[in-house]
Amino acid sequence: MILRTVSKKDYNKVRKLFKRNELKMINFNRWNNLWSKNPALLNKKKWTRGWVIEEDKVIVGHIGNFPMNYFLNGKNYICSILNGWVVDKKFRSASMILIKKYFAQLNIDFFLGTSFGLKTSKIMEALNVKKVPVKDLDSSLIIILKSSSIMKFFLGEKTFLFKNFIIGFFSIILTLFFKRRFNYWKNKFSTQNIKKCNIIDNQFDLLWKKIKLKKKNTLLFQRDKKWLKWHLDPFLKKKKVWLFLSKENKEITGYSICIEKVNLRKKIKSALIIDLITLNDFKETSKNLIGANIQEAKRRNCDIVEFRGFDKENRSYMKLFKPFKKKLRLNSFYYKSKNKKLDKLLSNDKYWNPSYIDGDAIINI
Amino acid sequence: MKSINIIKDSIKEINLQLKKKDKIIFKNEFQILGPKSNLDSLVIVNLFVSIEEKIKEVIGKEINLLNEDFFDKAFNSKYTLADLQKDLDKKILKKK
Repeated sequence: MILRTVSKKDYNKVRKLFKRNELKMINFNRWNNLWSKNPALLNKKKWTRGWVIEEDKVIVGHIGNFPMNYFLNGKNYICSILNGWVVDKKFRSASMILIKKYFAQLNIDFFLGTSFGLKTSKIMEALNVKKVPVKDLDSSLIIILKSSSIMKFFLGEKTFLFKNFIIGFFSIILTLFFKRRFNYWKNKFSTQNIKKCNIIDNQFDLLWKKIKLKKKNTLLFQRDKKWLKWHLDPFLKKKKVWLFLSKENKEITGYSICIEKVNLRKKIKSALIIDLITLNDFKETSKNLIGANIQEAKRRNCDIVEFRGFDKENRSYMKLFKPFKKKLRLNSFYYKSKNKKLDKLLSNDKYWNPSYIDGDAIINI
Repeated sequence: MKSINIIKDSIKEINLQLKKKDKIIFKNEFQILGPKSNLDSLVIVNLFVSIEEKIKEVIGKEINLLNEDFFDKAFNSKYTLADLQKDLDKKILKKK
């Protein structure tokens, strides 16, 4: 067995490893761009793409690692994102070697993983890696746009006799019971000041400067033009992302980002609100942005709109639309910091506003 | 309490959660890490955490086995229950 760093040439072997373990892997360009177009690495900064374990020239274990820039209290922090920790069953005892290599990195302000499962989250806890302390990360707020999607949401992966008939029958019953709640979101907002934005341009640089000042007490992924482009370009190209700006007197007062996700197993098309930032008149601006997103999701024939994570304030705005709450299996967001000052700050939920824009939460979509 | 007993008790505890084919066999040459090891990473973590807790009960001090270099030195080689016992003896004696 050989333990070595990941190179560009490893893509096909890593993809095969993912396939053997029933995991999807993004295409080569998207994978390679995690580093080659990463704004933190454009100055040729050295960075390890991850580590692999190789046995007889076959990659049997992998852990990926790419940087993201974060800000808190005006300071810039380099975050290492854990991505694709996969080891073939026969070699699982060696998976600890990969995770130890990952956490042994120097010059990292904090480590962040956003896609842990039940088992890996237990390993994280044993390694003193902490859960992101936001209570509601283990649940999603959901607006149902099609009644049949509720049944698909809960029963989508199960197979049983007369499934389609049962889903159809209960969908009708649910529509009768929840008609008012399903339609509650309608007419609760105004799109008068909301403008759709199809490109990520220089206005996001100006916006980021304002956000950095206004939200300086919140840990935020750097949301300027170059970072947003890096993160969202694959979705922009496929028209699977939409951005709304709230503008008043030509000034941007807030924005939101939403992406489309198709769950092939459950046959559900979701719209995930991955970002919601408001700079003033918070309640009205947030309400209008969320409403515009729901409307757009409906136009795109989505089954549901999902809102996961965020801070209490943002969740309270989403709750204005009377969403359903879906309990998830776990809070899959974990972090670790060797920087004691930062670690102390991050243990307090008031500094967090985590969402799918963070870490690798949307990388594998 | 000797380290061998700590390991034995921990294995008993962990085995309760495992299927028959996955159980840890208490014998010196049993590989925790290595080519013959089929232990899952979570089982290893649970075993180490259980040992850490028992050591804390016995000597009253916290040790973190997962932060030790066992995994690194066992890579490309093997790390057996006998090796673990030796390492624990060193640690327990050192802490005492």
